[in-house]
Amino acid sequence: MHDNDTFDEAELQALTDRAKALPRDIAPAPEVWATIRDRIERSRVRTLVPLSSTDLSQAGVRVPDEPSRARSPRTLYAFGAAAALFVAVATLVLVRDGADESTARPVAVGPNSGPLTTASTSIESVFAEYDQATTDLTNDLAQRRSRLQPEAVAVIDSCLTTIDRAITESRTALADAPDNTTIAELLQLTYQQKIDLLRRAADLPLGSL
Amino acid sequence: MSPLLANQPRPTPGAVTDDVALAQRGDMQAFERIYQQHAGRVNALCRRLAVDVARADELMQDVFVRAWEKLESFRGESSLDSWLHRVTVNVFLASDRTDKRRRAHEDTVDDDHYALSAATAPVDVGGRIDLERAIATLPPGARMAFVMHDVEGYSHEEIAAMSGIAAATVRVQLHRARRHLMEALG
Repeated sequence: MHDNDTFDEAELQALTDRAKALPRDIAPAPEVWATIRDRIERSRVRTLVPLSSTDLSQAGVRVPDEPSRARSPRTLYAFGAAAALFVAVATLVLVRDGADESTARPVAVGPNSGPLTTASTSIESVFAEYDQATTDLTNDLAQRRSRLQPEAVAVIDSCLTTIDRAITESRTALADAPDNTTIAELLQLTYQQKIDLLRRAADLPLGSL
Repeated sequence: MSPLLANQPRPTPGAVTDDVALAQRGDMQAFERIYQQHAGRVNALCRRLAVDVARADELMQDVFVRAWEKLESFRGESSLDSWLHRVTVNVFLASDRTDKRRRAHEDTVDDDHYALSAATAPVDVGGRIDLERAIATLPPGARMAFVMHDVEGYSHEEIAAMSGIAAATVRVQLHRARRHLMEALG
């Protein structure tokens, strides 16, 4: 089929000439970029925490999909650990979202538990302390992991993968928006989740789940 | 309608520029520079694909949010302009499919709906206004084919590759668009 099989050629040429003459560069409204940037930043923050059991499942955390099915104590423990992590992180986000900006504060306790102010040049040293603390605990876990139940190790590794991804994303987001206290607080809380998980793993009796 | 941008220098087609590489690693400032460089061309396409300015702005936002999410997949096989146009067409078509499902659910209108949209067509000045308004009255598929082929200069095959629509369908849609526009413009 030809494009112009039923058209008058001159008429078609006139139309295509007019089309070619249309401007192909039209400046958007100035506020469009700000909206795009905000949407991207919000989507980055959303990736800092798993939002549902589906997210946890996709992250590799074992979450039973049929609540009515009878579960073994081991499965229940795994579910409990994943759920505890999810609820804790989700609660922190909900608390943060619902809090008045002037009263919002980190609720977790870490190597340096004071409220974060991104203007402070000490923020990197705070996170360096977290890094050191998690490294020490990770080394402890590495020494114990061969003597832990494989199921327990799998749950811990899944949760650590999720948390580490959140830390990476939030550090990237914070590098782009160093004055964003929400991201800084989420980063601090995520570090605290990692420390809590590693401490819990350190308390697990050897050979048990 | 917003003022036209002066022609700006374009990066080498097919090149992964420093800004693209930085943005692929999550650098928002680099992505903003990419936006500033390409926003005019993408916006022009959005204005013509969408039937009104508000929807064009939404489409523009969706396109650059999607581009941010998918930029990692850009390998420089085409120019970034073409890649962004591909993203634009896909976001537009996905949005149109959603609209059609909603309209079907609401049991309202079909493609003739768009013939009623002339009053909300993009407003411009000068001799372009009639054609711009007429383009806005086209059904979405025909509008996309006409804008991509006759305004943007892509071939049938390129449009087919961008949109996932068969080249023969693109030809039919373009024919339909031209016929409609000739009738509308007298």
